[in-house]
Formats: sequence, structure tokens, C-alpha cells
Amino acid sequence: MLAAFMAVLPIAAAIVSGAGLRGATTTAFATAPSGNYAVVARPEDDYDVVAVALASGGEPVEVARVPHLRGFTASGSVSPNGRQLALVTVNDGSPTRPEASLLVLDLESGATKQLARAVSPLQTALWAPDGRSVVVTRDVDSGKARPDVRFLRVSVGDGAAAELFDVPAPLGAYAIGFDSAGALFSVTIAGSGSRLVRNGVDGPLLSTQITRDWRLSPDGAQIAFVEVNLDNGLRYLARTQNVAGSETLAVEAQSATLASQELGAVWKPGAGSATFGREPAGAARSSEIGGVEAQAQSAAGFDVPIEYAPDGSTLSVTHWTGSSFAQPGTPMLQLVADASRVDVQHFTRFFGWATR
Amino acid sequence: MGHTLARAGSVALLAVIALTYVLLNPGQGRADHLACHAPFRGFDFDTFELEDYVTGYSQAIELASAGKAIPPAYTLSSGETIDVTYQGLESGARTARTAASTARPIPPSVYKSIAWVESASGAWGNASGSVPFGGVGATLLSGDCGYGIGQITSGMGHASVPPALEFGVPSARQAVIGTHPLFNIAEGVRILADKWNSAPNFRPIAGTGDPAALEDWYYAIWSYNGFAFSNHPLNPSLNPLRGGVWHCGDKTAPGYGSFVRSDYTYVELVYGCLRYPPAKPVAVVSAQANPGESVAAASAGGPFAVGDLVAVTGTAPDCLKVRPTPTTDDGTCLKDGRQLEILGGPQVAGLNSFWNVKIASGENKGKIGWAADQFLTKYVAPPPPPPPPVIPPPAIPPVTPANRYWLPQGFVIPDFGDATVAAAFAPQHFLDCQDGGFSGGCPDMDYPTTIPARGVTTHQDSTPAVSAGLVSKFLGDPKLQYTGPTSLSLSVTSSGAATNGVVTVRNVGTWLAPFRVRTTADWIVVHHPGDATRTIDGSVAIGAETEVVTQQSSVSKPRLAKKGSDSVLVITVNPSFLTPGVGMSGKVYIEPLLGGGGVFVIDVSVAGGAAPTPGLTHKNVVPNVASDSP
Repeated sequence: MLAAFMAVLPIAAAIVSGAGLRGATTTAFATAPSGNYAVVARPEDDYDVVAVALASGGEPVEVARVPHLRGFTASGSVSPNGRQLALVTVNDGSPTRPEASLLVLDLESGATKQLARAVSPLQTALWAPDGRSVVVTRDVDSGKARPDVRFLRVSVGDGAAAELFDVPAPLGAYAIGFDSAGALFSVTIAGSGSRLVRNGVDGPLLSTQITRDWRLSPDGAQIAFVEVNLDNGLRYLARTQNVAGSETLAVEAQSATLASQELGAVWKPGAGSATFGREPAGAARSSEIGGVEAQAQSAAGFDVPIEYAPDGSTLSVTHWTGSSFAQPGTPMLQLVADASRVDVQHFTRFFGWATR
Repeated sequence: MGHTLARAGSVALLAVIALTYVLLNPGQGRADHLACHAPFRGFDFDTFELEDYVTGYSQAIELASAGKAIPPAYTLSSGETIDVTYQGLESGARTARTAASTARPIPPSVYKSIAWVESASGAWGNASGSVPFGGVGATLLSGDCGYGIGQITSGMGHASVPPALEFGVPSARQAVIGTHPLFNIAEGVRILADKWNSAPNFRPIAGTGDPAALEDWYYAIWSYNGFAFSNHPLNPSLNPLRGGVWHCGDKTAPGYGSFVRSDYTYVELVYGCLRYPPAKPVAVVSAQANPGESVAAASAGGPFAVGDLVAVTGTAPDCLKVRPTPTTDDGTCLKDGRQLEILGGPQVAGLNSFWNVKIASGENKGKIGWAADQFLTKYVAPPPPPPPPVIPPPAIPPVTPANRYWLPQGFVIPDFGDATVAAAFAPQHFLDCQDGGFSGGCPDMDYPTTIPARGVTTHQDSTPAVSAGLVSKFLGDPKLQYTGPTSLSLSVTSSGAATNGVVTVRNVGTWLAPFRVRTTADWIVVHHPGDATRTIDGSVAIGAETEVVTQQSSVSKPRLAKKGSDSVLVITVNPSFLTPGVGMSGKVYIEPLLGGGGVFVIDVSVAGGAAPTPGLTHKNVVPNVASDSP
């Protein structure tokens, strides 16, 4: 028991003694020149190195190190104002039964604060549009075959957690975004497939399959996602649906049945359609759903898009060197603009954009 | 540890709560964990960490996987039975299942991978990281009370099935699993076998349910960690391009540098290490003593390690003599190619270095003697047969076998390109399976592992068969002896300091003698000298023939070792459980869990007047105990 306690003690100590608690500490990001910065991370054995990388290139600048259990890595999302990073990181439990916490990292001071414990390990925190709270989920033992999933809105200021709603014993439940009216959208995966949920109220069925890579359009009127289609062997199929009517959640199903496989879904600011990353064999169809503009700039491999910068000038992608999803090769984190493609060397995780 | 718990009514209430929980959560095993957390916690066990842990744990796993590790069920003087024997495996498809047979082994590489993933510390280990390899110390214990190299949780809780002796007091079975690495491994293997045998009634079947097929272990491995959606291969939280399996830390494997352990499901972690076994440490100290052999014979270094297989080479047309001693001239003559097992050495005699060996193959197999080392080379097992060619579906990459913990295994991950395989993983099928409590065995999740049209077939473990004779190395012939008072009168000063007595537990037999420590009262505390933070529930004493490392070698420190290791126990009082002015009495039992030696009983009393001993509840729950005598 003592051994287990000692194992997590350094993690707890590192969090408690976060740089920000020392007050005057600032990071290089605090005085960085204006521009779009990718907030990225590199997992090390028992901590993640969080850094910012200028979209136009240059060495990423380390902002903080976030400890976690050996072999793990945090997921992160950048606040709307680009100054804070919400992290879900495994810092307790054991490797085979991990327990995660919600942290918030101030990118300008490097200070880390633990906001909540015992949150679901495999999730990415979702920022509220005002940047004052984040939405996370927590597994709640329900006495059923699977735990309920509770959605929490956690105040960044004081860590106070408000319970939003519970999803009874799903296979998975994921917060995906807010619409312009401030409604929280999530997706629940259950036996019937994947269902869109608005403010805890069931909406339309997105698919009878597992889905992934969900992205609300900037105006909240559409959702883009990837269907994990098992009808005739595993295939990843791009889908978009209109979410018409804030109360009725009427959905127009996309009629086209796409033959090629796609992964990743992003919305370019101002664009009316979503962008997906397609297997090279299907590149000719890319215009139908947007395609990744930078894909043509790479002689080999393919891109899986992650997120556009707020001004739409740069797209973060995972560039794979292989020829197909079955043989994807090696991934590289890249920042792609109209005329450039920048490797974010030595970093593999993208957490969001921070604009100065 | 449990001696800090309030017993009596509160214990009964908690037991009811825990048992209710068990009944409400069949198959979840969460009661094990419930009892682990505050105010409960894991038992404080000690263990012995093998110094040559790569070879040692590898052999132990091979023995356990073949059902050759553990003696048949036996009963202690307390009336408790220790049964960690291998139950065997069922075999066959859903409609043609045959009963469990101990003749069917678990592919040892599967459990080796599981042990690696479970220990998660960068090395196999049964003890906590603070214990040197070859040393004695606290058993590895995770925050959720997973014990030892197998991180055993099932059956290790206070209210688990089978339960602890009472809340806070481990059963003998729990104690031996917590203290003896071979029993820990054997229990892990039993649990894995149990997961396998859960099909077809409570788990789906991969392939034809052939335990010899590595691919067919998919659902049993999944179940070892929990048959949860988080381990579903299509979990949308995981990167779909992460590759079929984890790289297991192999820098040459796909995904290394891009993905980490938490990017994969548990099944993918285990299969990943199956394919890419971890690299051996740069310098493995090879001084593991062999029970029954002289320490001098087993303690030296050199090109071979104890347990190595070597082959006779370079003697043709003559032969190599295996002599009774290094200095005798006659002996059994072995031709080139004959295999020997290194038992110890080397010893220099004349111009030659001699190794203590056992003939491992052919005529005179098992004979022990000494052989000159210039005619010995390390035996290199023939490489596993190349996997049959497969068409596009999941490929089997070539993996260099050199310098790894175990032989890399070829296998095919589930071929999701096949419609039948993909359909088995549909969310509805998983949900139906889980919601039904796995009743009916989830036939919709069955999938083929042999698909001729796609060139997909199964593969077997290439690990050579293990010799059952090795088991004596891991069991030894332990026998406990005790030194110390059988009666202790303790007192507590006004400042709260308590007097104590010391009992030394010695293994006058060989190898590792596990024992349990239990008390009849909360206020009696047993700990090691200088470490009052752990209240000992079980420990080990090491025979004098075995070297016990007290300081692991490093760049700045030499390796320090001693012969054998006694377990020193300090018996004292926790004043917070005493009633002021009231005298109390109780007992400490030190009970061997394996081998010889009787139970040692210490009567403990604490001064305070002539008040009667408070009623103790232990008699109600300790089996076959009608008085305070064991």
C-alpha cells in the first residue's frame, strides 16, 4: 500500500507545487510575438512536455511538464481565449486500472491546477464558449453492467463541479461542442448505435454504428463525424448531418454512400462543408466533402486533419507516410498553410490553437 | 494491517455491505476492490524477488502455464486448504466444447506478456520497486490491491470469493499468493484459465476455441482486465491508425515514438508484448542460487547463467566428460550437440574452468556433474518456423528474437477486413453480451481466426516445453524455526510509548519459506524493526543456501548479498486500541504456508489491571478454532 502511495506521491507533489503557484513565473509564450501557435505535447515516460509552436515554423517552446503514470499521456484542449489548457491526465490508480484528473494549465505562467479527480480517463475536456468552465465526464457506478456517465461542468476558477446530466450505462458518451446558443451537444454510443444528444436530451440517431471524430460546425447547425462501418468489413466513412431546429433536432441524413475511407473531421472557418482526411486511393473524391487542401502538397502518404486555426489560415494535421489506413506508416504532426507545410518535430499530440 | 480495523459490529455490517455488493455485481469482482480502499487497504506482505528475474520468472510462468508449478491442494494445521492448482482448459468450438483438461497448457508467452503488462515497471517484479532484485521486501501492491507480478486482485479482497479469514486477516491462500512468487504466478495463470473456461457459457469464442492457437486467446485476455468497452478495439477514444498492437517499448516496432501504452486496449498491450517481447536488461546479474546445490557452486559469474542451456561443441571426434567433481578425471562422455543445464560455477581446476551442469537431453538425462567450459556454448534454440504467407490482412512483421525476455510470437490480430470478424464487434453485440451478464456466452461476438480465403490462420506458441523437474528450484524444501518469547507482557507508558518483544523466523530448510502473521486483537501490532508503517500479514524467510541481495549493484555501489534471510518481527501495542486501566490479552500466530515447521504462538498481554479480556470475535470466524489455540 505504501508502495502504491509512494508511486503517485511525486505526481501529487508536482501538481501541488506547480510552477504557477510560485506566482511570478512566466513562460516564453507569455512574451511571444503575435501569431497562431499550436499547443502540442510529447509524451515522455512519466510526464508530458507541453509546448507551443508557431504556425509559420520554428522550434516549439516548452511551456510545462505534466506528470502522469508511467506509459500514459494526457489529452488536452485549449481555452477559447488561447491562454489556458484543460488536461485530462492519469495520475492515480494503476496502469491497468487508471484514474484520471482534470487539470488546467496556464500557458503563460506554466501553473497547473487540479480541478477535479476521478474523471473518465479516455476523454478530451470541452471548454464552454465563455472559457470559464470545462465539461468532462465521470463514470458513476450504477450497479448495472456498465457505469453511468455523468456530465460535469467544472468551474476553472474554483473547481466547483455542477452535475449536468447522467447517461445511463452507455458504451460511451462524449461531449463534442456547444452551439451558438450555448447548448451542449454530446454523442452517446449504445447498442442501437450513435445518438446525438442536446443538453442531455436524446436527439436523432447519427448511425447504427460506432462513430468517432465528431465536430460541430462553427454555427452548430451541422455535425461532421466518421462512421465506423461494419457492414462489410471495417470501413471508416465520412458523414455530415444537418441539425435543424434547436428543439426538435431534426436531421437530414447525408444521402451519399461514400466508398472511400476517411478519418478526422474539421470545419474551416467560413466554409459550409467539413473536411476529412482520405485514404490516398480515394483522393479523387476529395472535393465532395472538402478534402484536405494540403494533401496535394505531400508527395506521399496522407493527412488526417485535426483543427483549423481560428483564422482558417493553418490546419494542423497528422501526416502519415504510408499508403493506406491498413499500412499507415509513421505519423508526423504538421501545420499546413496554403503554401507551406511545417513539421512540428519531436511532438506528436495536438491540443489546440492559441492566438496571440 | 487489518488490526487497525474496528471489528465486532462494524465488521459484521461491512461484511453485509460487501457481500450485498458482490451479489448485486455478479462477475464484476468489485468487492475485491471495495475492501481494498479506505478504511481498508491491502495486506502487508513480504516476498522474495528473484535476482535472475528474466530467467526465473520465465521458467516459473512456463511451469505454471503447464500446470506443473504448484503442489496439489494441501491443508494447514489451521484447517485452511491452499489450492492454487491448475484447473486445466476446456477446448473446442461453441457446439463442440470438451471438458477442462490439465493436459492443455496455456501458451506461456501469453501469460509472460500479461505479467509484463501488469507489472508495468519496466521489468518483471513480484516485489515493490524499492526491493533489490534478489532481495526480500514488500510485495508489489497497486492502489487497487493488485498483488505481485500477476497483480492479482480477484480473491484477494477482504470480502472476496473466496474471502479473507476475516476482515483484515488474510486467508492462508491469500497469504501464500501474496508472499510466494510461484504461487502468485500460478494464481494469475488460474485466473486466465478461468477466463478462458468462461466460454462458451459466459464469454464469446475466438476461432475454434483452441487453446493452442494464440489468436483464440483474444477474449480471455480481454476478460483478464475487464470485459469493458474501454478495451473494445473500435473504442472511438483511440486512434484508429495506432496499429494492431502496442510496440511494448521496442524501438524498432511500428508506433514507437508516436504512441504510448495508454493509446491501446489491454488486449493490444498483451498481444503487443507477445509480438515484441521486451529487451532484456543490459546486465542481468546471474547469481540465483539453486536450492539443494551448494552456494559455492551456484554463485559465480561468467559467460553462463544458472538455468542456461548449453551445448557441447568442438569435441568431435572425441567427447566432453561430465565429471563428479572438477578435479576428478573420469565421467560421463557427451558428444557434440548434447544439451546441459547450468546449475552453477565456474570453478577453476587446473587450467580449466568447470561449470556445474545437469545433462538436459538424451542418455543420462538429469545426471549432475562438472564440465569444462571451453567445450560449452550457449544453446540457441532453433528459430521459430516462419509463419505461413498471408494475403493482405493483418501482417505478421518479422521480429528479431535476440536478447528478449521471451521468443517473439507470430500471430494475426482480428482481421477486421473480413465481414464476419467485423460484425462480431458491432456495438449491439457487445451491449447484448454485457447487459445479459454474459449469460449465453455472447455467440454474436464469436468470430473466426482461420479464414482460408484471406490466408488467415492461427499460430502456436514456439516456447520449448518446460521441464517439470525445474519446479523443485522454485519450491525448495522450506522449514520454519522460531526464536523468541512465547509469552510477552507489554506495557504502555504515560507518554504513549509501548514496549515490545522480538521474534525471529528462520528458514532452516531451503529456498523460500512463506508464512502468515495474524493476531487475535486489534491492539497487537507486528512489524519489522525500523518500519512501523507496515503491519505484517505475511512474510518469507530464506534458506541459508540462497543468496539474498541487500544492495543491488550500480555504477556507484557494489552488489552486496548475504546467505539466507531471517524475518525479524517486532510485536508491540497500538495504544489507541487499548482501554485505559484495563488489562488485555491476545495472541500472535506465525503459521507456515508451505513446507515444514510448526505454528508459533505468542501470548501477549498488556498491563492495566485485572479487568477481564474483552470478548474477541475471532473465534467465530477462524475455521476449526474452538479456543485460542490454533
